[in-house]
Amino acid sequence: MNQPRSCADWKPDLIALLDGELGSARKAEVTAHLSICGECQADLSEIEATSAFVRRWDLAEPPRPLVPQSFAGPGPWRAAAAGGRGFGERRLRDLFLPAGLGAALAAAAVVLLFRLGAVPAGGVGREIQALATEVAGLRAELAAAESALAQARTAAGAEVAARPAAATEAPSGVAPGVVADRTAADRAALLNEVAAIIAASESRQDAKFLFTTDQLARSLSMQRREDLAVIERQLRDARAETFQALLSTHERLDHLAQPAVLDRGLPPERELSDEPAPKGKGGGQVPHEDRLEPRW
Amino acid sequence: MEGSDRVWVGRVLAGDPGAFDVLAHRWQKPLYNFAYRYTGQAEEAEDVCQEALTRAFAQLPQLKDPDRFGSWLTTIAFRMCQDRGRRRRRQVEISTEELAESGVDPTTLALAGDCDRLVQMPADPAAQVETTEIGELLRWALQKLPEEQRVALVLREYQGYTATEIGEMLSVPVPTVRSRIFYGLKSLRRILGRGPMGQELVSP
Repeated sequence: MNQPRSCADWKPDLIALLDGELGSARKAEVTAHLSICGECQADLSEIEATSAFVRRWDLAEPPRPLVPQSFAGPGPWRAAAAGGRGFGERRLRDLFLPAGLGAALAAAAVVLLFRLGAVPAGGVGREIQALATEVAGLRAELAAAESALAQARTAAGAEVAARPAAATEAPSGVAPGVVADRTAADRAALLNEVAAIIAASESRQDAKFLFTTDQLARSLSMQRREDLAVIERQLRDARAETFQALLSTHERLDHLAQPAVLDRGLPPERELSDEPAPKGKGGGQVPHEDRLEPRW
Repeated sequence: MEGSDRVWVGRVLAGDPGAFDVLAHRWQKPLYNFAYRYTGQAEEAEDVCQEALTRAFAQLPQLKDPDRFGSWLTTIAFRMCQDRGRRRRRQVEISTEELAESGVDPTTLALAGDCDRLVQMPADPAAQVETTEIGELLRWALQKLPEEQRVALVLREYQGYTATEIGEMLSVPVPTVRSRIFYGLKSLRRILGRGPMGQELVSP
């Protein structure tokens, strides 16, 4: 290499030099550099000495045998080997289980775990966990909706019962009478008339007020009843939707647990039988392995 | 036991699991020493050895070159050490968060991440080094190195692998391996040099 190099560029070569891994040309270059570079000379000596010191740490004996008496015997290593791709043989699972049944059994196991409350994290487990959370949420919402509906019904009944009745009280008047003392009688009559006018007016006002109040109350009551009806309708709708969601969730859960669904990756039997028959001599028999049928 | 690794690997693959006993007994000592020097922990090294041998037995059909069974096995052990280290650091981080929430002094937390090394480090190297054997001193010093330098050094100095072999084992370019070895040795020299016997032990 002819381009100028910094000292840092030479450091890996110092290790290669110590290990005897340099070609003759490269070794000559490194040696030439060392002859003119004090820093690299010092580094070479330092790492050589440090390496020699480091190697003074002798190999230690393991405190006890670290391997089983024999890998031929039973033990976790056998299970580990059975789980791996084993020794040129097909795994037992492949030999004795049809392709889809293994997945179905796994799914069934997952569902079982889910029901036992021991859902494995990841994959199908996560999906089931999410569904379970969704179902729990729906159930809680449903309970809350039922409770709110019951409260609303109670409130509506109380409202109707407590509605103020229309006032039916007759206006009170002052009966005009004959007054013996004309002057006194006139004065009294006048006062009575005035009083009667006032009373009548008050009575009318009262009646009007009561009527207005009653109208208002009726109106409010109607509005309230309408509002309550709307709320009840909404709650009923919400309950119906929640029920629907619950049903859907359960269907999804059941769907997930059905082996047939998990196996739908396999082509249906019909497709297989519809294959055109091979033409030519000896072509009438489709090899068993090509039929994608489960191997028992 | 006579016979190359290739022979015994072949016998295992041919259906004689007992043949793996020969390989396991042949390699358990270097494997243990690698794990011990890399992790600095005897118990950890034992566990790694057992797991690595078990996994090697299970994954033997994946071994491409049976002559390189030893480096393949060592690489398995190295990956296990790395995984364990990562798990331990994650646990420390999690417990650190929990402690922080409970209002523990952050200084204590900062030390927690380094506790593995601090536990093994002589409180006063100057006072204790006379009774500390070289192995103990090096065990402590190696743990002060960055992981990538430590593994390169351990594989070269103790396992006897060349930079080319180490590069293949770690999937790292050879010049990078040499660079890590160089700077690892330089760092080790500085670490050891800080001790009272450092100058005497490692001076050129």
